[in-house]
Formats: sequence, structure tokens, C-alpha cells
Amino acid sequence: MDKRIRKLLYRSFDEDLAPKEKARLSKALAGSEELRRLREEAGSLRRTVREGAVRSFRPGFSDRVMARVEAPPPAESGAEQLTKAFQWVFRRFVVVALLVLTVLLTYNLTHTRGISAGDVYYISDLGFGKILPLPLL
Amino acid sequence: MMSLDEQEKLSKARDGDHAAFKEIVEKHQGQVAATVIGILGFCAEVDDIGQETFVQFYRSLHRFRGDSSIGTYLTRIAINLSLNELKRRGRRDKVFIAGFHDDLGSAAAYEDREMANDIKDMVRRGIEKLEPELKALIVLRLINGFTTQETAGILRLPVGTVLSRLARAQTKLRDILRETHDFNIQ
Repeated sequence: MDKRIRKLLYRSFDEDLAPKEKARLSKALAGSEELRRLREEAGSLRRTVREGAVRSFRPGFSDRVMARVEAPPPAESGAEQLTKAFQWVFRRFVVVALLVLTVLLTYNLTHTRGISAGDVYYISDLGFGKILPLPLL
Repeated sequence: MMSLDEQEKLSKARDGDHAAFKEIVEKHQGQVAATVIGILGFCAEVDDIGQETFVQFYRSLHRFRGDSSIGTYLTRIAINLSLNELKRRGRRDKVFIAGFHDDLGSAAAYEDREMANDIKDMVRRGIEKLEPELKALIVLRLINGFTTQETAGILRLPVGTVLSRLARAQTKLRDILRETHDFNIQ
């Protein structure tokens, strides 16, 4: 079966087709038993999906919702309050720190010639031999 | 848009009238249930997610401007919470719980109620096997009956994507039902 016609058939359930598309589908339906069967089947499937849907929760659902809505918000423990306070302070510091770091980095990169990671971190002549001078047995 | 009755209830709920908010819950719980159960299936978390949907709505009452209807707004919260829950558990531990009552009042189309029940069960299980984004489309468009435009708005997708994914979801669902149940719906 032509895939485009099948798509057109499914689309016909969900939106109004353009007159040309409608005519093409009608012509195809008139000439194909298989397509007519598919239309019947698609229609039945859609009906069954709609009718078979479960549209209710367990009894007493609205009471359970209202119990949650009416319940007082849970009180925060001391640890939670402390964590929140730290987060609040940290967020402000981190923004300022990132800003300062960006300014410094930009300044150094634009005003310094020949800057390298080795110069920045002073690690250019460091090696494992210097860091870990293990005595050889 | 909201009806006058809804606007009045909303206004009362904003002023702290719990009875008015309860009426909103009772009116919309069916739609939220269909959304959450449609996405998650029958699992232990369904009731919690449903409650959380309304609790979040309650907390955002003062921010809710009424651009969309309450049902649409609640469905958006329910969809997001359900999809987050799916991500969280990675679909690994589906716990089916007994005692869930099912609304089969509309089974009159089928001669045999048991048969109708079986077919609906199969289809529900088939939906559970779909990818989350396809499942969300089936739930919004086919179960809750939102238009393709509304569905696109809720999922923040272009209408064209909604239409092509809907076609893919239905093809896939049909294939799943054929594979797992050797089943043709007529």
C-alpha cells in the first residue's frame, strides 16, 4: 500500500483535508479493498482507545488532594535552614568571584606577552622526580 | 477559554475557598486520571501523580492567568509529571495493583461485556508499550479529545509533527496488537 495514502488516511481522522487531498483519498479508497479495511480498523482502534480509557482514580481522590492542600507546609529543620543560608551566601560570592576571575584573566591575557600555563602555575620544570624523590633501593 | 462558572470557582479558590477548589478537583479528576493512567498504566504511582497535579495547580493559582482552560492547564501539568515519572523509573518497575475499578459504562457497543473488557485491556497494554512521546499524543488526542492544535500547544510541538506522530502511533499500536495478541480490531 502507498505509504503516502496511508498517512493521508490517518490524517483524515485528525484534520480536514484539502479538497485535492480529499479527492485523492476518495479515489484510493474506491479502488482498494485493503485501504477500506484499514480505515475501518483505524476507526475501531481509535474508538476502543477512547472508550477503554480509565477515567477515575481510587475512591476518595478529591479528599486526599484536599488533605494535602490543607496540610500546613512541613517545618524546616535547623540543618535545612543552615544549608539554605549557605547556598544563599555562596551564590552571591560565586558570582562576584567569577566576575573578578574573568576580569583578571582578561587583563593578564591582553597585557602580558608570552604567558603560559607553566608560568601561571609555576610547574614548568617540575617532574615526578622532583615531586617524589623516592630513595632507590 | 473558561466558562463563567469556572472563573467564579477559580476566583473563590484564589481567595482561599477550599470547597471551591474541591469542586474544581472533582470536575477535572477524570481528565487528569485518563492522562496519568494513559501514560503510566495501572501502577502504584498513579494516585500520587494525580494528587501532585492538583497540588501544583493549587500552588500556582495566583499565577494562572486563564489563557487556557483549567482542563488544558491541568493536563499539561499531568503530562509533564507523568513523563518525568517515566524517565525517573526508566519503565523498569511496573507494579500492577489490584482493586482499581474500571469504568466500562460505554461498553454497550459490544455484545459481550467480557469481550469488550478484553479488547480494551489489550489496547491499554498496547498503549503502554509505545514510546512516551507517542503515548502522550494518543492520550491527549484520542483519549482526552484535544484538537490537534491544542495537543500541539500542550506538547509544544508543531501541528505537522503532531499529525505525523499520531499516524506513527496508530500504525505502531496496530502492529503491537497484531504481534502480541494476533488480534484484529473490527
